[in-house]
Order: sequence, then structure tokens, then C-alpha cells
Amino acid sequence: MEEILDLGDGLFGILNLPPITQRRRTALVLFDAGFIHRVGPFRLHARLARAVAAEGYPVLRFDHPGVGDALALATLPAVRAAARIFDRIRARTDCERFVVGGICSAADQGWQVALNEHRAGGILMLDGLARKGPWHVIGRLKRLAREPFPRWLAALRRHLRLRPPPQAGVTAEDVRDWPAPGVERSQLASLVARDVEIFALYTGGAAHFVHPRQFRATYGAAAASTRVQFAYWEHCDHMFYAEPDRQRLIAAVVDWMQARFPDRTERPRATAGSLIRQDVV
Amino acid sequence: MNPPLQPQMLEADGRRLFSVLHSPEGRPRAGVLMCAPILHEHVRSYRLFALLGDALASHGVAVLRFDYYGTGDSGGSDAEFDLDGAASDAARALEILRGRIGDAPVIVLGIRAGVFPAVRIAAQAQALWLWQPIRDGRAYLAGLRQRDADERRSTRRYALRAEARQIDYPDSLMGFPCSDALLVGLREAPDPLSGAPPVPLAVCDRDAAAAAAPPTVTALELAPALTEWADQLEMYLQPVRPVQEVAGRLAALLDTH
Repeated sequence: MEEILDLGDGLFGILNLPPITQRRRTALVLFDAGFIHRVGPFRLHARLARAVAAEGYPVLRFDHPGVGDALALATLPAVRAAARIFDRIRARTDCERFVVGGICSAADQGWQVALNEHRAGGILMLDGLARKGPWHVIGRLKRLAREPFPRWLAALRRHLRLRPPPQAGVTAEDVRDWPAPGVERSQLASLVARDVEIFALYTGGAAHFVHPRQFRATYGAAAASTRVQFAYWEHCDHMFYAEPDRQRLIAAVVDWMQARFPDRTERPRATAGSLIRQDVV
Repeated sequence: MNPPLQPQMLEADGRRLFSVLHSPEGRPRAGVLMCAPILHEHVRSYRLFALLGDALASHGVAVLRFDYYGTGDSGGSDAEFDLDGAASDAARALEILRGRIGDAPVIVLGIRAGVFPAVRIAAQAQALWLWQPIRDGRAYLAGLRQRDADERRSTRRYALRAEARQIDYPDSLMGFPCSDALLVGLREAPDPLSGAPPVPLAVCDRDAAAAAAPPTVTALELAPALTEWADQLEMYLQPVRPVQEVAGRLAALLDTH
């Protein structure tokens, strides 16, 4: 069942609430994928929320200030806003542990929230932070090797500056909320030490990630932790445009949630919360 | 400052519909029901029409936006969405809006392909506004098919060109699963501007005067900032000022109906 949950300051979210007898103690909170409102690209978030909720996890989707129906400007820093959202979900569901994240900027935000909010027990990181470096160069060359000759020629021309590269000067590092290079290693180590579970999935549509070894090269030894599940879907685009890619992602997230957050509510009881529209007209 | 948005789930013959009501301060002078665009255009324009709803509320107009069954936050799967269902959802939403605004006049605003369900319920309203209307459903569908094919073969979307070429999903359109009923509905949809309109009619478009050829149709020209979204896939920040400006002009239209 989907409900509308008041998040304060004129914000609201759509809460997928499993029946109390089937409800688990971990909730998933999906952040907006850039400027796309809470339904997600090609309705991915709405469908993902339904699939995850069908396995007993409450799921909240909501719009950040400036996106979708969130007309008002932000009144709180993102991490404090997330803490308040956790409070609202807890009041409604009894969940005390949260998985946060989403695609692209949502992955970055999930990372920041998890670093600063002890109730964040997991990060869904889809095309999240990764540094370039030697493996990026090797990945680019491997891709090029699979392309026809005209693309080789075009790449060579760009390299020799015979014509300007597309979107010169703008890189993922310029537009993403990433820490200073190298800091992510100690951040991941601290998250793993806190038993935070991480599902890091990169797609072939992420220009900053073109070789699976970039992951270990970016995050260091902690990347090998059993808390970290890494995947690289080279043939999938950044927004999961193809229906089979969306189905595969939904199945992968459900599997990961079930494997890493198997807990269920021990003593079901009636809850009261800040639901503002449970009624149906 | 308008009252906060009122999100609500509407029930319509077992179809659960998500809706948002923008209420003005005090008693509404009119109500506007927005019939949203479809597929990628729904997502692409969502912020624009949220802002327009808010701006119209500042002019004393109550605005109800809703997601058709099988789209957005409403119930149902994507494959359950078609134009017949959209028209019945719109009719239900119109009833809800009427219940909220008393005896104030109601205007149906159809946006892009949302004009098709809007036209079918227009006789129950006091006026019909068409925003960048799709007039030829068959040509629109053909354009979407071509654009979908371009997207599936785009090296901006799929870096591995050879693999991208192999992707073909006949049951999807612009990334969304879709039913045969939707495709047939689009192909067979009549021109919303053909025939005598049952209620006063206005067309809002970049070249509205040309689109609103019959002299009985009011034309309202739109700035490029309000129309360009329909040709783009990338999302960007929606400028607020043009939205506020057009809301004032739409509110002024109310006096002419």
C-alpha cells in the first residue's frame, strides 16, 4: 500500500508500506536522480519501491527542494533533512535502520548521509564516485578496440587536438558532490567499520567509470570488504533506458536487500505517525 | 504565499490515482484540471506544471494535477496505461475538483498528448485550454518511434555502439513499456481542434495564432522557455519567471470565458 507521508516544510513523500505482519526493520529511502522527480527515470523508482516493499521493506520516495512537487527552498542541510526524514519514517513504521541512495547525485547524497547519520545502515550507490587514473585509460582503449575504424580516427583526431573534444573541460568531478581525491578511501573504511552495507553498481553509461578495476583503485583495501557488493554492467546506460535493464536492477536490489537486511519486526504493534493522507477520496 | 500543496490518493473504480491540489488563499475564482503529457514528456514537464499550478493558485485559481493510472505515482503498471483509461481518470479527477471549488467554473487544461483525454471530458467543463497540443496522433507516434530508435542507438546513451545497435524492444516507447491499446489510441485519436468545440477554447503554443486557426479559438503565445522542454530529453532547472508571467495571462483569460 502506498501512502503520502508529510515530511515537514511543505515536503511530502510516497511511502510504500508493507503489511505490519510482513514488515522488516530496515527502510529504503530513494533520493531524486538529479532533476527527475520521485518517480525516477522511466518510473524506475516507483517500480523499485513496489518490488522492495513486496519483500517487507518500507520504501520512501520524495522530492528534494527545487525538484518535482517540492516548491519551497531547502530549510535544512541535506544530512539534517535526511535525519528528519528518518524520524518521520520511524514514527510510521518502527524502522530504525535505513538504506539510502539512488542514481548519480543520489548516490553521492547517500554516501554523505551515511557518513554523518548513524542510522544509515546501507548505501545504494548507482554510478557513484569513482576516480579515473590508469584503469580508466585502459578501459577507454579497450572500448575503442571494439569500435569501427572511423571512431578510432575521430578519437585520434581529438587526441591530437585536430578538433576540440566534446564538452571540453567538464568532468564528473566538476558537477558531482565528491570529496577531495583520496578521502573516499578512509570514508569507505569508516563505513565498513560501522557495518554499513554498500551496493555499488556502475553502468556503461557512466563516462567516469569504464573499467571494473577502477573501483578497487578508487577505494583501496576496504573495497574488498564483505560489506561491499560491487557490480559493473557495461551494456546498461546511466538511466536504465531499456526495460530489461530496469528489471535486472530491480531484481538485483531486492536480492541485495534480502541478503544484507534480513531482519523482520519482532513484535508487530500498531503505530502512529505523521501520515497526512491515508484517507482515500 | 499559497497554502501547502495537498497531495492525495484518489480512488476511481479500483484505480488508485495520485493527485496534487494547489489551493489559493480564500475561495477559488475557478478550478483548472491539468491533463498531463504522456511517457517521457510527463516526467520532463512535471516541474514546469507544478510551478504553473502554484502560480495559478496565486491568481485565485485552484489547480488539480493527477497521474493517469499506470503512470507516475498512481497505481497500475505502465502497460495498463491507455487513452481510454486516461479519459476516465480525468473525468474522475474533474469530479473531485468540482467538489473542492463549489460553483466556480472549471477549465480543463490538456497538455501535449494530454489533449486527447482533455477533449473527451471538455463538455463537462466551462472552457478547454490546450497547451502545445498534439493534433495528429499518428504523426506524433511515428515521431516517438523514430526518437526511441535514435535513443537506443545513441552513443551518448550507450558508449558501446556495436551493442547498442542490437537493442530493440518493440513493447517499449521512449523507455516506457506500453500497450497495444495506447498505440492504437494514439494512431486513431482525432485532431482536438477539428469540429466545433463544445466550450470556449484556447490554444497555448509558441505559434498559437497559427495553431488556433478558427476565429472562435483564443490564441495565447508561449515563450520558448515554456515550450522547449518538449523537444529535449535532458532535464534542467525550470525558470520561474516565464511561468509566473503565463499564469497571469491564463488567469486573465478566465474573464473572457
